Amino acid sequence: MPESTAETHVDINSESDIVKVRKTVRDLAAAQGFGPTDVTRIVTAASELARNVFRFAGTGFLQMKQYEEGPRRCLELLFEDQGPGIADIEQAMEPGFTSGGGLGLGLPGAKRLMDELELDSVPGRGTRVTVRKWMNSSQKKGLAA
Amino acid sequence: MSADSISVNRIREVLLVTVPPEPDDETITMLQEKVLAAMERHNARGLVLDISTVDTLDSFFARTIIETGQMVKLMGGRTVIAGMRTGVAITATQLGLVFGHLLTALDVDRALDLLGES
Amino acid sequence: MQDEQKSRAELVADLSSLRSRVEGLESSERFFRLIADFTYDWEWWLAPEGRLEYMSPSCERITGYSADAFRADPDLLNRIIHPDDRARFDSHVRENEQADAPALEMEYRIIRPDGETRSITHWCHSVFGEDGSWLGRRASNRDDTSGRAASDALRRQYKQLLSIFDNIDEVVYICDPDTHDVIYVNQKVKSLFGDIVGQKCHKALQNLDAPCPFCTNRIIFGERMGEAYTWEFHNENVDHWYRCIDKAIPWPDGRMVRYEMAIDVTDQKRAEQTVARQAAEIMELSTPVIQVWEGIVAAPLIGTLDSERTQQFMERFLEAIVEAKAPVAMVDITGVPTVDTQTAQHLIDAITSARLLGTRVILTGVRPAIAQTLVHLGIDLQGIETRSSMAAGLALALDRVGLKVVDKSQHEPEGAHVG
Repeated sequence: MPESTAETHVDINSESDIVKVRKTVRDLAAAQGFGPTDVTRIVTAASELARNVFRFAGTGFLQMKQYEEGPRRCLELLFEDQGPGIADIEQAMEPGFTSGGGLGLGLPGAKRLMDELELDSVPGRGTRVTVRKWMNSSQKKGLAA
Repeated sequence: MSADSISVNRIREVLLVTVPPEPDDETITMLQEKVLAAMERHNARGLVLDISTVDTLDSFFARTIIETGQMVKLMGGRTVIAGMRTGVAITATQLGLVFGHLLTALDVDRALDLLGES
Repeated sequence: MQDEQKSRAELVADLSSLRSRVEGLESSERFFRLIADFTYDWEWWLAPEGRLEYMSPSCERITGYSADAFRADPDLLNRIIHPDDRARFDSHVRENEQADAPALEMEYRIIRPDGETRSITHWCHSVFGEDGSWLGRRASNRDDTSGRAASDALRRQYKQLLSIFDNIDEVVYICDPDTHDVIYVNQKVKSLFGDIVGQKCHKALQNLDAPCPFCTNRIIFGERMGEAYTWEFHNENVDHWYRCIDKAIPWPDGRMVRYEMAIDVTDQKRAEQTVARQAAEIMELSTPVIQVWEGIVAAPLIGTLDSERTQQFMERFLEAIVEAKAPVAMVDITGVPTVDTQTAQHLIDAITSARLLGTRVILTGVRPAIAQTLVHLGIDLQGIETRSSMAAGLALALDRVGLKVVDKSQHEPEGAHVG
């Protein structure tokens, strides 16, 4: 597979796209300066959420964004699909809740690994999951390589 | 990541599988099938899963490992997960993954010790 | 007789037509005099050779001197000009002693008999007869004192402001938000960067050929217009840290411009970095991870643990276990009086993660308060071995690696008395 520069958009249509999501997120998180354990957290959360998209909607995408707020830098991952949606959001956020026959740890697990998680879902229309991880930045530099 | 990159080796009565760095779902599923086939073929009494090169352990991978462990147990064997990376261990814990009855070891040597193969 | 009569009739006719012409002229004259004499602005007409042909009565209202006074004393007009403006006024008059001199505008001040100064805006132009002959210079003067006072006051305020800036030992500069041209720099900037007025701010200050990607203009001219915006910045060219205060402010010429004060906080920043580094070192000291024996890693934790410290400890703890290839590890929390629920969770996570590596973990020194927190949290403590004291934990750990502690006094060589 050819080495790609850090993309900000990844389409999720197949199982191999989940691997692509992991690699792209890993590259971006590492480039942003997150420590190795945090990178693993972010990549694992992304893998869970990408898997949800593929498993429940079949197709969707990941949109990545990096931005700064004062001295802090944020990596934001938005997973969006037009799948069946989540009927009961509270239930979905319960640890251990299973709806797809798996461990069902996708959403609460991702929330624990990241700093923020926002869930926006309409049954029949689709789902958007936004997760963010912040890092303290003591230096404000241009993000250009 | 081609599924052919999973190779199951035998060390006397124990199977050793070295998992490649970024396995996709197909590879992980293939791993389970190959392990079970080898368990039967060699009548092995244990399985060592070397995950020392694995960077990401998500719930699908964990589920497959746990299932494989259960299947190996049903076939009369014990499973040891060897070489988990520290970042993976922390992430798996915070993700809430529970490996239950599966044994773990720092590396393949200790895993083999654990299974009684020195 | 008829010639006499005829010429008499002609005379009468001539007289009569003359009279009506005179009446017409007088009427015209009244008309134009009305217009001229009641003009609000101060107007005059100077003949080509400089003689005063006309001075409007409104001169008295503005200058305090009557039109008669001006006519009687031709030099009066020059004398009432403010001393500072006299030279300028003189050269203006001289330049316009020609027919083809253009229409002009200028400003000058006069001093009234009561000593008051008035600001005058003056327009003048050449006037010509129907035959094209040059009839002199016509001028219209407006008393602009109040308007000028306002803009003078504003200009004075800015002069004061700029002189204050010059006395501030920090970088202050002002630039045009559209062109990025530097409009003003204070003395501090001059000493650091030279007189960069007129250059592009991003080139002179950041050595960039295009506007800085982090330019705050879109904030101070956008949603936060009128508010000061404070931010910190590391200038790599001079390797100094600055706390910048940016604001959109009005400039005397009417436009809104970008103002920035950049306070050098380098020393403070370095101190902050030192403190942060020392805090990290202290954190490591109070959550030490030690290999107490071959194959045994111990972590005697001390003091108040917070979430961040515990997370950092977790990573070091696991790394020490991997490096020592320790089959057993101890975490002692005798020195930790209480923990909040989040920290308790992290502590348990640390132990659980270590166990995922295949290491046996013994938790010792659990105080009552922490025991309560752990149980209330409902954490699955199954499989986490605990001992009350670190000594007991150590004994268990040693046993795990196949060692045991022996009392030397039990093995004295023969012949020695055991007291």
